[in-house]
Amino acid sequence: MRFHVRLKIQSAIRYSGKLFSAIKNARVLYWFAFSVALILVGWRILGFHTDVSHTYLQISMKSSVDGTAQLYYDVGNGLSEANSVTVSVIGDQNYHDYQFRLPSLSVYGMRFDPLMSEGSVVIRHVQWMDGLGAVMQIINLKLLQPLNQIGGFTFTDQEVEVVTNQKVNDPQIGVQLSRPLTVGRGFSFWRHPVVILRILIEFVAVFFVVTIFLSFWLIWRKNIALPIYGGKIPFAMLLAFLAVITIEIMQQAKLPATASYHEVDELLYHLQTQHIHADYMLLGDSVGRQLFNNTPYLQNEKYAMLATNQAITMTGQYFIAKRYLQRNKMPRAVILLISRYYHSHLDDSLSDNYIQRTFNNFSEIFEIFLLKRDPVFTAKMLAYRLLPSFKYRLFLQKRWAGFTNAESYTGIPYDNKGSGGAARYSLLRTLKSHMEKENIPRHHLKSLLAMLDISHIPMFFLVPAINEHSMELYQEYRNSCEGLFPKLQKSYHNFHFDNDAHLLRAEYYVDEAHFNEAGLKIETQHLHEKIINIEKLIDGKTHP
Amino acid sequence: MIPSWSFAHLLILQGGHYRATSSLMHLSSFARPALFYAAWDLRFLILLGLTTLIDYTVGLAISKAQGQKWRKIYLLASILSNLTILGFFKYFNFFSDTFTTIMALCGLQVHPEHIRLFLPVGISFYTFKSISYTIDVYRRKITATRDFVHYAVYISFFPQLLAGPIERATQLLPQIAEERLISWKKIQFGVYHVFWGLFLKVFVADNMALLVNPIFTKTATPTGFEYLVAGYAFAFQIYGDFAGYSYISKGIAGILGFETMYNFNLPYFSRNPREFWHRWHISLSTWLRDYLYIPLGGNQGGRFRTNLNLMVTMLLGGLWHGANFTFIIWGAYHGALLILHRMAKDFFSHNALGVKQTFISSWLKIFLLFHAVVLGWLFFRAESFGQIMMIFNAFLGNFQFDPARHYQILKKLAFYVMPLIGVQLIQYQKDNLLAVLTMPLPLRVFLYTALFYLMTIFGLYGTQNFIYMQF
Repeated sequence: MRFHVRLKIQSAIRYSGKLFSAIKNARVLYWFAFSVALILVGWRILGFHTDVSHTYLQISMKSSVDGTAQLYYDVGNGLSEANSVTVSVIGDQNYHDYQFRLPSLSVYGMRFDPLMSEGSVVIRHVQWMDGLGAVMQIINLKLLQPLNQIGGFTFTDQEVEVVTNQKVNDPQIGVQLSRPLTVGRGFSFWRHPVVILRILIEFVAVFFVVTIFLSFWLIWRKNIALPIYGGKIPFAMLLAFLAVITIEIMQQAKLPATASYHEVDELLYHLQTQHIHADYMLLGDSVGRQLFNNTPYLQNEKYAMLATNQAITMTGQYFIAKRYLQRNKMPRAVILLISRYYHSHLDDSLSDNYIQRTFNNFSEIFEIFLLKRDPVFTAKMLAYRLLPSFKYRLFLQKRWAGFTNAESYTGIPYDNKGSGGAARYSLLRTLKSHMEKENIPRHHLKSLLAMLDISHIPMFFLVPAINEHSMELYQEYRNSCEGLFPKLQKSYHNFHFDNDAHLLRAEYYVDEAHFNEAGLKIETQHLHEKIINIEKLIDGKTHP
Repeated sequence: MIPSWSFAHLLILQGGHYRATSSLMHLSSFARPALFYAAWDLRFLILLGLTTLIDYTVGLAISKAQGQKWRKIYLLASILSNLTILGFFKYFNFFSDTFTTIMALCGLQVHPEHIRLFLPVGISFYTFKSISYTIDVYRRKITATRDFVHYAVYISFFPQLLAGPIERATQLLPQIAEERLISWKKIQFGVYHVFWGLFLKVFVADNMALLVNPIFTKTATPTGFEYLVAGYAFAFQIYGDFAGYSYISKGIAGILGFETMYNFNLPYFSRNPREFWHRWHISLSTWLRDYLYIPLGGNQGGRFRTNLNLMVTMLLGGLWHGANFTFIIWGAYHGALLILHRMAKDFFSHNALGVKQTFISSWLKIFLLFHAVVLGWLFFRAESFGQIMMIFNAFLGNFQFDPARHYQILKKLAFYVMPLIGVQLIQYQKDNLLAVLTMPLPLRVFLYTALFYLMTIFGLYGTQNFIYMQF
């Protein structure tokens, strides 16, 4: 019986070896490469597993004094010095993320000592995270309770301000957990699809590179040319591919972080590298930006100015807000001032530069893929993500050739002699109109509302005065005020919209949508009043 | 833009069909391109289906017909029906407008019905494919297929559906009926062709369009020098665009296991107009030769008749490109070039003045012919007859070269064209379109990497359609 099983295993190995190659020597080489790839990838998985199974409590806070914070955790036998972690706190009045490593056991309760001396700290958020940075649980700040030597403990909007008594040495805050923090068994695959994908790609790449390397080595050292990959592998293409990977890695290191020509890049870079702690998030398009920038009342740190020029559409607004919320303090309210909210289904020429090129985190790419279901569109986003040379091609064009072909983005169509009127009868369009219940900008407006709703952040949708020549736009907005917006309000209680769309004479505009000085004077005054009203409303809600 | 989802769907699913010969498989091979085509416009598909059905039936009828007379009648029916469909959808308004203009010149006011017609994508290509099939069946070059799905796959063969080449049934139909096998070599060649085609399109053609389009806008008043540069640029734009499409088409067909023709063979290295038409849009020029020029009598009816046949063929070839006088003028111009070349050849051989082909004379001829072709492209690209007159006026009266303004344009032209010329010189020198694949490994690696980066950094993506899709 045992002999029979052994035979079966042997024949299975032999058979699987033949999947690689019919030639024995080549098979050995393939097996070797396979083993190397397996070992390397196994080592990587082990590393990831170790990382992911170590959990952390991340506390984002700012402090008035330098000192030491200590976290005690209860793993079933009470709080003790042995079950505690300390970190140094920087007293620069700026927010920092402090990570306290927790054991791979269930944690039933915690105590947090923010300082060992007199001072004040403001805690912005407390999160339980795995070793790869995925948030497993957000601890509600309401679960924090002052225990010992705490002079002041105030819940402000989305924050807790803690002031310790004078001449103290052990101020304590209790963290009551609604349920124990328990690390599940095994590697949490579902939380890290990108990591899994990376491991798979690494496995294939290592296997491939090792076989190629060994075959070259055999040719060089022993003058043996084994027919690796059936002897048909296009070596030139493969080596060119490796050359591209090398160049791209080098480009990544060499390119300046803001190698772009547009403020969207600047804004995203700013969001990625700095913390903004404003009370109000100002989102908008170029008209919104023009009005926000020209309203003196808004020129202070209370307002995070995130409106940008160009048609980045609702998709862009949603992604900017999302990126902002991932790194910064929750604002008290979001104000969206946009002239064409329904504009662009990401099929105009501007989407290339302002959506595909700029918003290409993997999650964003995936989100757009699910909505647009266009593989070429997605492939282009992936190319922007993976190839720095492609992403910053305008910059590189200027550097290498001294000129750019940026004018193409204004969209100069080839005069299509003859054909026309086809779009109305397009089968795809017909099918889509039946299948799609909502369009992309509307979807992202809802996504934005849903995202803000979770954190109870109200959103105010404002509309600038509409040019009397843009009656279609005016009508569209009026229709939304009567149809879509009230419906949205029922689903998202945080949604408030400006039911005050009005027309303005064309003499107040420099083009179809942007205001001249006289127009700005009128409109910024309107905006100022609206903002004051919003603030009153928010203050009333926060401090009833 | 091509409806990309249906295109990707075709590529992915078609890949599973190697060893597929059953009717069901072929049915799906027809159904999917049909869906892809209908993605533009449902009505396009109805027309495509109609043409397919007519010529499939006529093909069978010709093969079963008892006498020559009936064979001829069936053939005429096929040709007439195809030309009627093509003529109606592509040329109705053109002829109607022309008729009105002529009547107005005669002092008569007529108001013919102006119909808003749609122009089905690729109609000229699949109509010519379909006509060649019935003529080949009539000439007994091919047996009429009994399998409707095979025939439908031939007509709607998706890599060639939008802009050709006009592949003959003798070449493609047997491959559809046979079992197709995938191989590394085919994939490698296919990928190479797609890569090179993409380079021609996104690096050369689309960047050239940025130089050409502003010159030909209605409000522009360019100088003669600017028209000349636009002519050069358009020569490379149309080559990069159409040859790029043809290479991609060949590459995709190759990956799917089909062997299809080359539509271009280094046309700008031609030394005379005849050679040019052997190298440019080969599928159309051979179609016109086999199904128009030769049936008209070819060169068998004396000098005048031959020249007349040449002119008629080229005029119709020009008209095939579109319902516009600029295309007819372009066709007539090339007809005249062919006649002139024929006359010059006769003159030199008659008087024993033939010069020995030297390196310099050869390149001089290439240079002259290229400029003659560029002049033709200016007619082709012009928006109207009036603009052609403007071009001549600018050449003769306003040929200004302004170094400060024009240097940048010339720099761009050279930058975008040089890599293409470099590769083509190698191909021309070795007389092999696949010469790149025979280069030493390090050179190939360098070339692929360099082309990839030129394409990645300087290519334009999603801004320009293929020009020949409108024909």
